[in-house]
Amino acid sequence: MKARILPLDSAEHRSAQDLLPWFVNGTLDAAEASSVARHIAACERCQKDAAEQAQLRASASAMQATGDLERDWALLRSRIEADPRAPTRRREGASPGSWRRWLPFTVALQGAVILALAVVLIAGPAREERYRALGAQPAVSEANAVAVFRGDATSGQMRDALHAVGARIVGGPTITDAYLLRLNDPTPQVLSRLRAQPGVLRVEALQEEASR
Amino acid sequence: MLRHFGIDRKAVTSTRRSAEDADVALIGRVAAGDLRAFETLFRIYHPRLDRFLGLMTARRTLVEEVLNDTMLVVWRRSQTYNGQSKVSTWIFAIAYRTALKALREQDEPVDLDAADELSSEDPGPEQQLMADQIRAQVFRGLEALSAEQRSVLVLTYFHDLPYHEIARIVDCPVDTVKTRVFHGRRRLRALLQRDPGAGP
Repeated sequence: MKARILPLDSAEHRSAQDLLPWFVNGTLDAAEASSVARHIAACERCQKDAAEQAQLRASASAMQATGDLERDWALLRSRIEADPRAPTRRREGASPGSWRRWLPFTVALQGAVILALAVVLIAGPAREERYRALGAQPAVSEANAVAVFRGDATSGQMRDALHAVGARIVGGPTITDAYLLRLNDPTPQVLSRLRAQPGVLRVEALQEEASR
Repeated sequence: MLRHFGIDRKAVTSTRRSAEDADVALIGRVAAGDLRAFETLFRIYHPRLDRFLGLMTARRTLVEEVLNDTMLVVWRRSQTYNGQSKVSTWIFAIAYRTALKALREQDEPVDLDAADELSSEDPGPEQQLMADQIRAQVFRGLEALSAEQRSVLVLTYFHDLPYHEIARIVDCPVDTVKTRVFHGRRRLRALLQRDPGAGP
């Protein structure tokens, strides 16, 4: 098909130029795609642009993610387990005026709660404060060692160190940047081997394992 | 004509629809506190977010932090997903906002060496090496753009998202997305032409 030259400032050309990126990535609806296709068939400039953009898209498609999925998941899981906040609900589905209907009841309830809290604080007996993170217990009970990595340790060093002794991260980092580990074989020899790995600063067995 | 650009619309649409259905089912389970479902969602989105954030922020250290923060928000706010957009759009919008915030908080210079990370660790034949060089040049060109321009280009060409979804992610009108992509690719082309041996 022989292309004809269209004025570059025509409305049709401008519209095709705007839509070309999504024509190339295949996400236009059928009507838009066929309109752009018709224009491209007749416009040399748009043919060249579309080819360039297809090349850009192709160069990008081979780009691989370089992050460490397993390490990132271990870190995120430890953050979730260390934080008691489970998924929370926000009343986005409520109708715009619905809060007004509940306002008097909410205010009354809030007042009652404040009053009850005041009574407890003033007159109530001292109680042992207990804080327990949701899900924290299983990770802690699973861990049999704790490790601190050097500040300049790379993710590769951390991974190699863990692989070398058959360990995995089950929690952390704690406030002191320590990680809770689960070792398949938590003997003193294996712990020493872990201490000797590049990037490892400190390794300690957890109490119950040490007493085995 | 679409096939000329390597696109099979029917196959793409069908694959996307089943992936969207799976995402909606997963996010429902996550909202109920199912950590295993969240892990599945994390494993699906980690590579996509890693690529997006890697190109958007151009800083490896920031990518890990932003990705982690993004998925933590997904976990905590999963019950606020109301089905008005795709799950992927919702997650990418969180990632975009988190990345922009992190970029604004940082004033350290962009790490130009990060482009090297895009090269294969195991260089193969000459052709592969050439492709790696072109990708590195594209990456350097993208770095010279603003985060806003870079984001819409990455979402368009590297994630194959439609313009209306990109508009939702970056929270701006569709026409703004089209304008940003138009000017962004013009600037990218000029930058790549200045870079010897560059691609498009």
